[in-house]
Amino acid sequence: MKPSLPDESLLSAYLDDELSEQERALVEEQLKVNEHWKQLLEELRNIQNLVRELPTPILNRSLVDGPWTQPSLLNSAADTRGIDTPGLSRRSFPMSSLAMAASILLCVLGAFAWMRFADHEVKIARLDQTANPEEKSVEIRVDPADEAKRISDLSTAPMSSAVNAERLAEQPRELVELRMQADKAPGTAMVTATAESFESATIAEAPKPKLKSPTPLPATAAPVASSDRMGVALSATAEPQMAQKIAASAPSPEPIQTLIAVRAKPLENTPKSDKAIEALAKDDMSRDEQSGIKAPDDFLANSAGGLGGSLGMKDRKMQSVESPIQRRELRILRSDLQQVIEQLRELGWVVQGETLPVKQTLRSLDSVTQLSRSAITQREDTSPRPPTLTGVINEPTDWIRIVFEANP
Amino acid sequence: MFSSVQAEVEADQAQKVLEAVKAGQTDRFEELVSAYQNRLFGAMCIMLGDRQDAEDITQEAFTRAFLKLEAFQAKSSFFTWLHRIAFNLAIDMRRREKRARSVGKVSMEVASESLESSDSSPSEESERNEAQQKIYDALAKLDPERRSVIILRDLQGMDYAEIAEVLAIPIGTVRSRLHRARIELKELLADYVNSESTNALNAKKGESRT
Repeated sequence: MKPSLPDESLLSAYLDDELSEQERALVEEQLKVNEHWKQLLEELRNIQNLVRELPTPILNRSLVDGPWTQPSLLNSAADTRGIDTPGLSRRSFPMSSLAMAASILLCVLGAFAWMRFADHEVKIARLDQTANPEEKSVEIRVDPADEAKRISDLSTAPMSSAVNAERLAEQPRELVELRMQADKAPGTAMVTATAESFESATIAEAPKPKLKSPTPLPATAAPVASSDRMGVALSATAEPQMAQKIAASAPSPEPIQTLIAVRAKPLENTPKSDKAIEALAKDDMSRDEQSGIKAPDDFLANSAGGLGGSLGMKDRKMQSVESPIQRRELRILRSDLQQVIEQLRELGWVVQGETLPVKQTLRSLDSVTQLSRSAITQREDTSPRPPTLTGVINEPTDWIRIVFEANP
Repeated sequence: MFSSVQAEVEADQAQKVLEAVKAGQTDRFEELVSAYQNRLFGAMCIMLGDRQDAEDITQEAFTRAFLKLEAFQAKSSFFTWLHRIAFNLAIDMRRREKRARSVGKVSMEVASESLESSDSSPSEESERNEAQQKIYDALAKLDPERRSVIILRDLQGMDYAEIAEVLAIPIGTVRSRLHRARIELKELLADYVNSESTNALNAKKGESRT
């Protein structure tokens, strides 16, 4: 005797029109003679209708703002974790302050790579201090043949950087060292930074409003004080897509130049000290005061290992002019938000309102997004004003974007 | 529930948009998000019983779908594939939390937030809400596997093959699981399942909508 349930399950399938002709004929035959089946079919239909009639909850907001606004994410999908298997979680990503620091640096490096080495390959290598560095490298290739795409798609760099920062975060903190290396080929550079140096990385921005002239926008690098580490100022650019959005909303956008100064450990045989970068900053400022920015060509040319060249100073003028941006974004790990905000405050950035303890949930960030620009306009001096952290953009993973704007 | 014709039209449109996105017009992915976000969110609300969780999962499902778009093959519809991602995420979320949730209570909040205002009297509205609450409660009592097939079939309008693909189970399992889920619901909603009361409930719904 067959169990009753499998037979009766034909009724649900009959209701859903999911039977073969043969099965359908069997069911219809049964329905003519079997009252129990007849009643059950009616009850199942009622159940189906009850569920179907339930009101559908509606989102209170649109989700259209997502990573698809950053076109290159599609291309970097290969670096993301798989999605076809259960067990994935936005909370499963490793988090550490190193990852934050690494992401900041790599964002900059990525932008820098686009600006500076459009025609060259850039390698970002991961290595252990105790191992042969050359044997553990992870490469990010910037395809020189795809110049046009890259120009229209700067966000490639931050995402690639984020992905690799995530990988780095999986390493024991004390063993992690970042190295950006491209030997001494023309247009290549070499930068390394240890975990400790990342920890003390600083972010500075000194925007000034751009006059309606082609004069390059001045910028100031934050001096980096350290006796044994070389300060590296890297120039970051904003995403073109964001530029378009802002341009649409701001008829007269005033470009700013972002500098992110990162303390970096010098490579072997690289005699440059912090004085060099301080000189760079001072030089930068003095030149700014006189006639707008001028790239410190001699510094760039003389820097050991091409380190100075990595700063992209030559390109900065061009980027300043061509990127009429008031707003910038930086992708960080959400767990590091508090730390970043504290650091920004130390640097004089304006972060209005009390920042909340950062929890490892998405919803806790909703309140953080209320961070708004501050009344820095009360300042009387005319020195470049630090930027304002204006908000935090939620992302559905462990990454968030902090948004900051110039205070012209 | 969406008709099969509507689903086919949507699938064709989605396919065209997907091709455009893959060709580089990534911002057109927004069209897919706009088209499907509410349906997916609705399913996740009932699946998870928490509006915020449902929103999180919905957002993450779209994000992951976008990031893995190159891996998506047109053998299945984007809608199905998206649901597979979302249901995996939802099941995983609950599995990790390892805690029971009062899905029914939250669901009622969800429902009441989403209901459009009607011209029905307060008493009718109250009665309807009560009935819907019972259905939500009953759905909440189903185990996630059974709840999934009910949502996918009766709310999302998927056929058995699509449900099988979303949940990665054989079609025969879909059939039996769906039947058991309906039988269980029938027992939980005994007061509403007999023809008389169901017809009365549906009649009131119809009145309130006209």
